Amino acid sequence: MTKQEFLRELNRLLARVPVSERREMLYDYEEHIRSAIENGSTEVEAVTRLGNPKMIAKELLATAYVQQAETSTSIPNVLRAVLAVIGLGFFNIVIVLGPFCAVVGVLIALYAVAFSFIIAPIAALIGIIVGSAYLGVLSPLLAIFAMVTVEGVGWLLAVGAISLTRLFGQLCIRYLKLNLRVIEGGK
Amino acid sequence: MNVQFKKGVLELCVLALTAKADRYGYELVHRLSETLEIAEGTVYPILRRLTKEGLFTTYLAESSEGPPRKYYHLTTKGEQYLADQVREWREFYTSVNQVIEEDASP
Repeated sequence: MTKQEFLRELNRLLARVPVSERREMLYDYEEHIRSAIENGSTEVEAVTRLGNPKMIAKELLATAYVQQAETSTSIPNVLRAVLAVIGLGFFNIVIVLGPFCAVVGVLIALYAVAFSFIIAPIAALIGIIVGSAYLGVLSPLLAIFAMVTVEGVGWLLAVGAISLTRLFGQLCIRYLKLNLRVIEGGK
Repeated sequence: MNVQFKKGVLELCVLALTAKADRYGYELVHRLSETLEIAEGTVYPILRRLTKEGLFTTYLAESSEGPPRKYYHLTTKGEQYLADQVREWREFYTSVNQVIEEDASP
């Protein structure tokens, strides 16, 4: 591969990185190849020693995505960072995806419980109004009290779930950074 | 050399190489590839990350041969981090060696 081919390929693989940042990334490789030639390498030799552009792009993207998720922590950003780090190798599927899925599962369960607590009293109320719900031995006053309690707990759980999600997002980023430390430098 | 071994210590080596003098990219990578068998292109993502984390600052300086070069300078934060990493590495090295000496030598 020539220098031009290498840089063009890397540029294509980094298409999702903002232009100014991509230019900085490419500059490093351009300077490297130039210096290698000044030190007596041939162009093709210098490019070959750099390694596979795909591997290089993966590592640059993973770092860039983790950084982006850190500056603006949103679900799509964190998800993209997780996937990028997983993409660095099979090894990481177990180490990153395992704990990630476990916590996401717990969060989803929490949201489901909160949602049903919020929705159940409303459904019950509609049932009573329509006249189809059976209150059994409960007095209407007690039934309303129970409904209000369940509704309140539901909202509390929802608020809790949201702040847990936020906390999890931040922990996720810290964990991904730790992973990058160990897995960067592919061969 | 084992790939997983290498990945773990590459960051430490990059930092160690800049401890005494500022270096430019090719110089760093070249020094590394003399002792460790690496894909040279994968050093730059590490340099970028460490720079973003504030362990390096970079500046451009003229070279005698032509266009300017990007130099990496270890910050105080970087020095601190390097010192911690070196200490951890030595502890690790000593413990592994101890196990090998006691149980693997004939």
